[in-house]
Amino acid sequence: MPAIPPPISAVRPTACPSGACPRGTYPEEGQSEGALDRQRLLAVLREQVRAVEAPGTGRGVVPLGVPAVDAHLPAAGPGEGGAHGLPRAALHEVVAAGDLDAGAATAFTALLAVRLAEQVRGPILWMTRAPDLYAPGLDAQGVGPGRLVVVHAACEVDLLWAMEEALRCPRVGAVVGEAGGLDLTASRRLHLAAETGGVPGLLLRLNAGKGGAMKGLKGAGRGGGRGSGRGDTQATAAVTRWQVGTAPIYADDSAASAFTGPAWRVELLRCRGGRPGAWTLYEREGLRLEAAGQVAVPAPEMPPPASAVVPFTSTQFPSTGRAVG
Amino acid sequence: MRRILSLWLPTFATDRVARGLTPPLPADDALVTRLSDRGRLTVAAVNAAARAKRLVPGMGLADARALEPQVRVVDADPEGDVAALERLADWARRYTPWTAVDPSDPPGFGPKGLGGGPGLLMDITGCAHLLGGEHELLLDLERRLAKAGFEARAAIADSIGAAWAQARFGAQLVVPPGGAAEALADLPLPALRLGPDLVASLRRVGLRRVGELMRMAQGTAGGAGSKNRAALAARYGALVALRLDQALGWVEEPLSPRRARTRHTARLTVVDPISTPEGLAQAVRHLLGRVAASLTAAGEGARSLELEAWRIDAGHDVPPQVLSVGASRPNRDPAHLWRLLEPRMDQLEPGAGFEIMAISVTHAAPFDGGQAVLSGDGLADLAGLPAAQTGAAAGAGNSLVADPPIAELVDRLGARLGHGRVLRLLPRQSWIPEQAVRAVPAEAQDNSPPAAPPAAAPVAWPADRPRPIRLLPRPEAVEVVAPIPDDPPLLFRWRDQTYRVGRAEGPERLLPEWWEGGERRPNPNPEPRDYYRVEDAEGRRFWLYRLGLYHAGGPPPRWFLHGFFG
Repeated sequence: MPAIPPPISAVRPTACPSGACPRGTYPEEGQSEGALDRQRLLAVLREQVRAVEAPGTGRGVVPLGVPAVDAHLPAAGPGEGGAHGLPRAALHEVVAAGDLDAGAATAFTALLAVRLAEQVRGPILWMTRAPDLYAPGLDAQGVGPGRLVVVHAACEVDLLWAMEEALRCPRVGAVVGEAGGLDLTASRRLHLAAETGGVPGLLLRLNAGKGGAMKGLKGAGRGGGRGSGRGDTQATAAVTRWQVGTAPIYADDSAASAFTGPAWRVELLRCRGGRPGAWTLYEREGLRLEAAGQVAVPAPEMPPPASAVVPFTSTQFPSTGRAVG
Repeated sequence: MRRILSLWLPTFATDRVARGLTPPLPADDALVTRLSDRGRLTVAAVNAAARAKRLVPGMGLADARALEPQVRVVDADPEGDVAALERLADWARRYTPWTAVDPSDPPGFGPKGLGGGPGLLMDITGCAHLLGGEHELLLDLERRLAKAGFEARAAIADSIGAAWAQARFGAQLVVPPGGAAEALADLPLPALRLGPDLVASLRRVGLRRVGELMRMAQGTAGGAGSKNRAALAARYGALVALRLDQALGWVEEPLSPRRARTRHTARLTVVDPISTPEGLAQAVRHLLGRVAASLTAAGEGARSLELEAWRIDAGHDVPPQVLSVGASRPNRDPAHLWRLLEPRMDQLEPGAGFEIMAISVTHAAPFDGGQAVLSGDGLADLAGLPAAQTGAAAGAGNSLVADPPIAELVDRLGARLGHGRVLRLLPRQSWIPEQAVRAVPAEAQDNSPPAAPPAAAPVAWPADRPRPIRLLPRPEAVEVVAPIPDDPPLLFRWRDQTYRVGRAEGPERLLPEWWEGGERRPNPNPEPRDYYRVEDAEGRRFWLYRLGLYHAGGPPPRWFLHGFFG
C-alpha cells in the first residue's frame, strides 16, 4: 500500500475537514508550540490533498526528462525532493490520435514504459490482441527482447485479467495493455492493482472499442482521422491521459534527406495533480525527448478546450507536401 | 520384485461390435469380422459362439459360411480396435499409472483355435493394496470388463512372460512372487510366446512342456546348463532361451507404458466420491503435498504435472479427466502448484463424483530454488555490460524468468491463457522482416535440454536498419505513383485513401534467402524487395516495398505496405 499519511481524525480529532467548523474547535491555538503544530498540520493536510489529487505519487514519480512537460506533471511526495513526473504506481493511458497513429502511440508508450520501468529493471509485459506488434521496432524503442514478455490474449476479459495479475507482481517493470473497450470500473481495478503492486500500468488505446490496432483502419473516414481519441473513448481511472499523433518534421528541417527520430504531437489531455498541455516532442538519439514548442493551457483546473491545443509555434504545417526525388 | 498384470481380450474385436448392436446379440449367435486379404475375404476375428462352431480367424469367409450359414458378418475395423484399446489402456490407469497396450498376436501365437486377441500389460507393483490385494484387483478388473461386454482373462505374475502365459494358458490367476517357474512348468510351449514354427520344431525333438525346456536349459550341474543353453541357442536361435529367461524373470523385459513413466505420483482412492469444489480442492492439495514430499526427497522440482480423475460412473472406455499444467521453472511448493491448478479446476466435471484422483509429475527437473539466481541485471553487472546489451543477448539465456516471482507470474498467466500465448519475441537470423522474430513460450527456457551453446554469438536485430513498430501480418498491396526505376513513390493509395509522400528514404534491398526454396519447396517470393521509409504530409511514417524490378516489356513490379513506424 502507498504510504498514506494518517487520517485527519488522528491528527485533529475535533476538526471538520471542510473547514466550516468554528475556530474554537482548533486545538491549542495561540500557544507557543501552536505555530509548529499548525505547520505540521498544514503539511499533513497538503499531503492528503496531494494524495487525493495525484494518486500513485506515493511510490515516487518518474520525470520524462523534458522540463516543459515535467512541469505539468504532478509533484512527488515531500520526501522525494519535490520533483515532477509521472506517478510510478499508477495507471496511465495513451490514446492514438488517429487510426494511422498506431505506430506513434505504440512508440510513445514503449518509451514511457521503459522510463517507468527503470527503477525495478524488471520485464515489461505487453498484453495485446493484435497480431501486428513488431519486436524489432520495440527493440529500437528500448524494449529489448531480453525484457519483453508478450501476452496474446484471446479476448478482452483475458487481457484485463492478465494485466491485473501482472500489475500485482512487484518485480514487473511495467505492464502495457492494448485494451479496447474498457469501462470506468475495469480501469479502476487496474489502477488499484497498480497501486497495490507498485507497478506502472499503461493502457494503450489504438482503436478504442475495436480491439485490434489495424482492424479499424478499413473504411476509416478521411478527414485526417484525428481527434477520435478524445471523443469516443470512455473516461477511465487513469492518472494521466496522453493523446499521441505524428507531427511533420521535414518542413523546418533543412537536411531533408536524413530521416531523424520521430516527431510526435503529444497532448496531455488529463492529469490528476497536474496540468494539461500540448507539445511537439522529438525523439533523439538514445531515446531522449526534446520539446519543440509548448502551449501552456491558461487555467490549469479547466479542461483544455479543443481549440486551445492546436497551435505549434515552431513547426509550421506545410500547405502541400514536398515531393522527394 | 515387479508384479505384472497381463490382460487378454480374446474376442475384443467382436465384443466391440456386439456391444453396439441393438437388440443385443443372442449368446449363441456366431459373429465374425471380415477382412479383405489380397482380394480374398477372410475371417479376422470370431466371437465365442463362432469359435464353438469351429470358425477360426484366418479362414476364408466362404468356408466360414459353409460351416455356419447363420453367421453374422461385419467389416473389421483394425484402426478402431487400436483406438478402443488405447482408450481402454487409459481407463486402466485407474489401477496403475503404468499401462501398455499389448497388441494382437500374429496368427499362430497363443492358444490354438483362439487366435490372437489383444490385451493390456499393467505394472501393478505397489498398487494392488489400494483395492485390497491382487486377487481383488483382478476380480474387479474382470468384473468391470464383463459388465461392459468384454470377455477378459487376466493373470498376475512376476514377469511379463509369466503373466502373459498364465492369462492365456494357465488356470492360476495370481502366481505368487517367486513362483513363476513352478507355475510355468506344466504349460505348453506356445505359452512362452514362441511362434508356431519354433514350437513345431521343438516338438519334433520331444519337448512339449515349458518344464521340459526349463530342465534342459538349466541342466543339473553347473557347467552342463550353460552348455545346453548354448546348444539350444545354436539350434533354435536365441529367442527360445530369451523368452524362457524373460518368463522366469531372469532377464528384465521393459514394459513401455503409454505414458512417460514418472517417479513422482500420488493417488487417492476414496470410498465416498468427491464432487464438491471444496472437496476437490482438499483432495488435490493433499495429493500435491505428497508429490512435493517425493520431489523434495529426490531434490527435484516439477516442470509439468497432471491431475487425473476417474468418475465413479464412468464406463471402461471413458478415459480419466485430465488437467495438465506447466511451470516455468522446477517447482515443488505445493501452494504454488495449487495456484497453477486452481484456475483450471472448474474444467473438471465431477458429475456423480470422483472415486480416484491422481497427480503425477510428467516432467521433473533438478530443483535450484534454494540457490541465488542471477537475474539479467546481475549478469550484466558481472560482465560489466550495460543492461541493454545483455537484453539483446538474453535470447540464448533465461534471465527473464529466472526471477521466481516473475516465473510464477508467467506460470499463472500461461495456466489460464495457454502457454502458447505468453511469449518472448527473440531475434532470428533472417533478413526477411516477417521471419526475423521467433516467438517462444516465456516459460520454455529453463532446464530445457541443451540447445544452442550460450557462448555462440548472440543474434540481435541490426540496430542500423530501422524497423517499424507495427508490422502488418500480411503486406497489403498499394497503388503508387513512382518514378522508374528506383525512386520512392510520390503518392500511394492504400485502403481507398491517398497519401502524399513528403519525404522518403531507401531503398533497402532485401533479397530472398537462397537457401529457401529449391525444387522441392519453391520459394513463394523469389523476387527481391526494395523497402522505403516514407513520411506523409502529416508526419506519419510508413514502410513500403516494391516487389521485383522493372523489366523492359515485363509487367510492372507491385508495391506493398508492410508496416508503421513509431
